[in-house]
Amino acid sequence: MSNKKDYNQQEIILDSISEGVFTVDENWRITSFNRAAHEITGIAPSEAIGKYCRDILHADVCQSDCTLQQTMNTGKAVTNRVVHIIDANGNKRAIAISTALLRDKAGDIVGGVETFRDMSTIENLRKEIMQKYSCEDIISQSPKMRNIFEVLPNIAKSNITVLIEGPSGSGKELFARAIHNLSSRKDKPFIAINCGALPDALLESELFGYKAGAFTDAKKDKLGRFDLAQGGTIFLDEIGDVSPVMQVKLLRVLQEKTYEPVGAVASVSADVRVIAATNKKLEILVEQGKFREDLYYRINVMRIELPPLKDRKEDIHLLINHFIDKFNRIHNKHITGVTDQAAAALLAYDYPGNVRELENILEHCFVLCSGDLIQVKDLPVHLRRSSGANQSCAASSGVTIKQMEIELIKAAIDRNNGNKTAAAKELGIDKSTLFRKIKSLGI
Amino acid sequence: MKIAISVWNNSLSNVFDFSTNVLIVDIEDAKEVARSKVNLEDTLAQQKAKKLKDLGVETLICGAISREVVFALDSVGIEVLAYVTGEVEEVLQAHLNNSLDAAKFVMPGCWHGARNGFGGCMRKRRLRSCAKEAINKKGG
Repeated sequence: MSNKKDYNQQEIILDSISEGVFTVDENWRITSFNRAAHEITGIAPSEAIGKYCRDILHADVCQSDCTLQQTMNTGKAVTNRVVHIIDANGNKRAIAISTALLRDKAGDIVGGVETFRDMSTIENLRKEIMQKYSCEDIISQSPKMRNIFEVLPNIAKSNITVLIEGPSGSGKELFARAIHNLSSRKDKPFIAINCGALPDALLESELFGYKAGAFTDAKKDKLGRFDLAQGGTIFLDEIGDVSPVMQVKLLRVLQEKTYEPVGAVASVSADVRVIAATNKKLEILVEQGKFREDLYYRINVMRIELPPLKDRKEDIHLLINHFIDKFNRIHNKHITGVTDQAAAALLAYDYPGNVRELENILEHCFVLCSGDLIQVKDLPVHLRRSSGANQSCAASSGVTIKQMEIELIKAAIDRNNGNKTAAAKELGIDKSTLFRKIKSLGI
Repeated sequence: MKIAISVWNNSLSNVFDFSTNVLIVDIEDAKEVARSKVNLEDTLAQQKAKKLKDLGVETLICGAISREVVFALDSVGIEVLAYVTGEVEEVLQAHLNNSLDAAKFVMPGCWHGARNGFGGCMRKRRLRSCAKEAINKKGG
């Protein structure tokens, strides 16, 4: 009786703490699994108990470098080791684990205990501050983007000049950073500069630096961005907005791999990889005589063309989930998703500002949303208007109810990653009804 | 057809994302005709997927897997039978006998869509299992 009482108390204590805790016996089978462990891994204690811990934790160290095994072998506790797991949402997340031995009253080892806490917020913040993005951070399942991901590592390794074309907000800098972080230059600086934001004289001194006395107020030498990027990568954003004079100077850097700081008498060699980006079609600018052909061919060694978000609408649900996750952390909220109507409005929109605009829309929703789900009323006015217009159009013409049905079914299937059973459940209809509708609506 | 099994020693590797060794098995008329071990080396999802595709693999049997890797494998047309656990030989036999849906081979923690690769009655069972998990999760 007393043992049972102790056990219950122990369970209450374990469930009340915010760190995940599980214990294993000598055969690595889980003997207890607390509430926080359930929350972090997404696996219920009833599923976890009795299973091998490696089948539950899904961590990168389980097979190659098991921390609990180290503790069992050496008897020494390990504290706060950061590892990665795959959680029950299919996402990679960082956790910090600590391990210790469990002994019986006689002092014999009877198993081990592992405690862990979610580090994903800290890791994501660190990533944002350090801007250490990789392919994994670019969210897309669109075939166009997947084709780019496939060649990205080879492009990164090659050290060639890259031109990234794509509309504003499509992630040009993210790709440039991913290329840099995948390359052998990853431990050297990545320097970004928006060429369109600066007038010529300023751009020249920003890019190449200047010597003391080069002009009034130039009291001491100043390093330029090419200097700062030595050994690393320079990202020249909005290259299409550079003046003809600056185009000549950039051409020289690309051709000769040397440049002259303003007011200098000697050239400086530049060991810098150049990644340029533009939201304009450089080919057309060349035809119009606004961009030098020789510079165009110098930077267009490898071209990556990023599609606008309206051409990869299959990514909208993934991006919505990603940003909801991000803003939940930032705003300390627990929003679980969007309603079908809000999803339909978000899907129907064309996003002239691309992913950046979608992110801003969702941040707007987070400020206004007071429940678990983002609703149409939480969307910005222009999206509400277009969604309202669709609804009134549906009411007046009588045919768009069918269109709305198609949208809602497609959205539910997308949200459930193609799982029609789960989609039917979410839509509140029988699976056979969903299959019949898919057939009759020609989805 | 060729299948790949993500392996670690004699067992299935617990997470495909973090493992590099696969056993490639050539199957004809539901019988094994050849096998070889391959080190994928690459850690990036797209490169792993491409390498498997280049090896002629049509189906991958593995443990836990992230969405990112499933998308990459899906984009090159490789079927994924994920969240499988057990000894390699047992899993292979179960696959040949079409009995990989037995409870002993099911690894907990699957996410919706991770097991879409399972076909026929196996798929139904997997989907039922996933739906049950989802209900339990919502309830808990």
